[in-house]
Amino acid sequence: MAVRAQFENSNEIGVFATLTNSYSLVSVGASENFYSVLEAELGDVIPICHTTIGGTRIVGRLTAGNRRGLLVPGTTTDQELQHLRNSLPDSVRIQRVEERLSALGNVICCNDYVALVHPDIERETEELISDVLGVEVFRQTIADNVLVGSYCALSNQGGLVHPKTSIQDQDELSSLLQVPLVAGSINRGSPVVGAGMIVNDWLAVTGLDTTAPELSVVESIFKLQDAHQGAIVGSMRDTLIETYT
Amino acid sequence: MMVNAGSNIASRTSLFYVYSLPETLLSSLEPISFEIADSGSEPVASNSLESLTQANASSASDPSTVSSESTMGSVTQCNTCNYSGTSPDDQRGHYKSDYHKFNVKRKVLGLTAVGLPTFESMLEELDDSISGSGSSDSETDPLSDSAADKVSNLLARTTLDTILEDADDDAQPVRSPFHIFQSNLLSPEDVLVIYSALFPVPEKSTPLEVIKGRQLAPGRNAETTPTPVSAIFMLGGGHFAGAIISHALNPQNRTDPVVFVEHKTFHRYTTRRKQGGAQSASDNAHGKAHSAGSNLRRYNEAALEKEVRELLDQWKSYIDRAENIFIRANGRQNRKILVGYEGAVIGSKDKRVKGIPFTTRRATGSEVKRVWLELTRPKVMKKDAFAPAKSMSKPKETVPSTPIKEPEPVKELSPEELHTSQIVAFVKKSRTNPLSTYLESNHLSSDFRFEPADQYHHTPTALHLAASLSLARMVGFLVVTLSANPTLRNDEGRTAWELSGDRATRDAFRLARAELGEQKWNWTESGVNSAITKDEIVARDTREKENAARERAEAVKKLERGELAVKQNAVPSGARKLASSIVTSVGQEQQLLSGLSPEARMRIERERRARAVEARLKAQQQK
Repeated sequence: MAVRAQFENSNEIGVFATLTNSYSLVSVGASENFYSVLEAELGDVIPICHTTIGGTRIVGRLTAGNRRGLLVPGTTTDQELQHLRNSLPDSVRIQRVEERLSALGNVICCNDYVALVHPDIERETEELISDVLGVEVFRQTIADNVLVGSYCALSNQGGLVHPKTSIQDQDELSSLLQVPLVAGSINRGSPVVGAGMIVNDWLAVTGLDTTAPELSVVESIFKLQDAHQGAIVGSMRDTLIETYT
Repeated sequence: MMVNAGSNIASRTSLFYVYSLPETLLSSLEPISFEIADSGSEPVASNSLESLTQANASSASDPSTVSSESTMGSVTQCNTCNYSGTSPDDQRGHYKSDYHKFNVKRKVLGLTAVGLPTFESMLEELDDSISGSGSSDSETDPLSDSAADKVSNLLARTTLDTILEDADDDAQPVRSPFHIFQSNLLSPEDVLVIYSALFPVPEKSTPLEVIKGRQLAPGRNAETTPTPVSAIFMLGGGHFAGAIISHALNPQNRTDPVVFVEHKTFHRYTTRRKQGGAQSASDNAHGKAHSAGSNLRRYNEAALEKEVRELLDQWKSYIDRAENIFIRANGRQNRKILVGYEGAVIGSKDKRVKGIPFTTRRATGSEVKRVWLELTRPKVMKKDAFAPAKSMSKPKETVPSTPIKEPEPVKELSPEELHTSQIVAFVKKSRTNPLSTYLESNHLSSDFRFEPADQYHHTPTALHLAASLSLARMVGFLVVTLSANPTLRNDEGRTAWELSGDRATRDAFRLARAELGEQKWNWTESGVNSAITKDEIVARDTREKENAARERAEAVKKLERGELAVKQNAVPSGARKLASSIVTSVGQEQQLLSGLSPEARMRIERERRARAVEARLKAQQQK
């Protein structure tokens, strides 16, 4: 299911929130509207942790994580780290990363199996990523942009990349990631798809500005259509057509 | 014989003058150039160039394979490296390889990918240069030879090379400020150099021809043909010096041969004392200050500009026929005063305008003279001074200035001393972020001991320095963020805490103790008082403020009470005279009291009360 929401007045949902298959982080101080959208979808399934990272609200851009773990930048305070440990499931490993490129959300793009990272990331960080998140790490660029986390939204089902990614690059990346990829925009033409939305295997939240075609691309590439709807099209088709004729 | 003549010439060159060189020397000059490209200086770059052409060729032949394999998940090639594997595993292995990482980084830098064979040969070369003695690359650390470091080293190296290539491509081959000549009158390892700024060489001409053409004929009539002139203008820090100089020297005066046709210097107070910088620069950066000094400087800047431009207008006839116009004006603002303003005498596109190709001192008349002599005296220099500069492959090359000019050799500073001076500067300016990046980039610990030790016996570390200068913020930053050790002692056996000059600094230490916890350091050894938090400091400050306010209020109340008592006792007694005298004295005293310390005030008050008691007793006795 893909929904639209707005964080205060901003459409860049991916800046203020992180979503994985086992937990979600949101920054504090948003309007209740945003929280209730998330809680309506996730409330009883995975924990939603309200936090800041290093005192800032851009938790989505500073953190990177998947089902198994969460990486936070060196600026994270001990208090915040403790709060995260208390709020997230015990199975999730939380690790502070001392990396010069501290906006981890911008430089790491990952699902539960594979991660693309900024080419200049340190070797220690690369090892931490593969240890904590349990993924294979590839240094890569997306459409000649080094900020892979900003320009790619990735789940285990599929991925959305910068609209100007060439077909060859898409093929290369999708064979690397072993998921189908599509080039597209979000939030009415914004190329920063990673920062413009959050996605896991059953939910995507995009900005309120996202157009219907953009949303339908998101739903189809991340396979978020309701199974129920699919059933209507498939098994109930005959009945329906019979009724209409 | 030849050697004799050569040494003779060489010893006299300091007296030569570029506009009247002796015929014998002039005819013997042969231009030489050190800019001829020598082979083998940049093997890496040339290799990578080869590989580029290879890569291009292969990519040109490839596209058919690209388009054929476009189904999802089955493409097993890497577009960055033009690599095509046979299986996804192959591909994954390739993505983990240093070769791929190297090419991705090259791509980010806007360079083309290199082929695998080239990459390997580059790696080998890197190994060679690490083990070899001739490595000039400061970034190659012989200890770190892991693959990743190799990649980054290689990258640093290749980017350096490409920058160098670029520079070679578009910059003129002329890097030295001199025209360089050989002469058979000089010894073979010597060369004669003349500043090229004096003799701009038009196309299809050689420097030698130009110099020959500009020689002043010895029997020339000064009346009929005016002597060529050059102009020098120097402006900086409110000082201006300008001169129109005749190309002919005054032969009578050996010590001061420069002939000024016109000259003028003036000075206005425009730079901010102690802070430095022009007032206008400060205004632009921080907004206008409204102090008397700033107004003065602002006025003076405008006045200086006006005066200089009026002068240029006066000298227009000379400037128009000047062969060279040398300008020393630092920054755009200073330059704008001289060149290219509306109705400027010197146009901004004027070809004759040149900088002075060496450092100059404050703009004064004598400095202008020195500049002119320095420019026009040909110099004999060792050939080696130029040649080795070529063999080093550095992006920027500067030809060492004349060895004759330098009276004392510059004292070599050890790297530790350089670090020290940097760190001290950062600490003194309280610049936390540059300090941490500096320490990090030079792999220095925050407990770095300053060198030379005898000069820094009092403050051997950054923390000691910050504490002794009472830079509370710096102290906090050093201890908390850079985890500087507070237990270190200076040569007098004192810790940084003991050097701290004021409470704010001590608070910074105690805050750090609270923040880092008791286990981090042996705090008792460091002497730091018990931990304190920000809230506690705030609470303490407010408490103290309240106490001070209460004390003041009490003092005032006491005073009033005392006054009242005196009045009550004195007035009913009928001793009017006494009472009035006491009252007036009280009034005076009150004025006095406000300026006294609490102890002094107390003493005076006690005295006054005693007097009041006396007065009361007296009154009772009279009854």
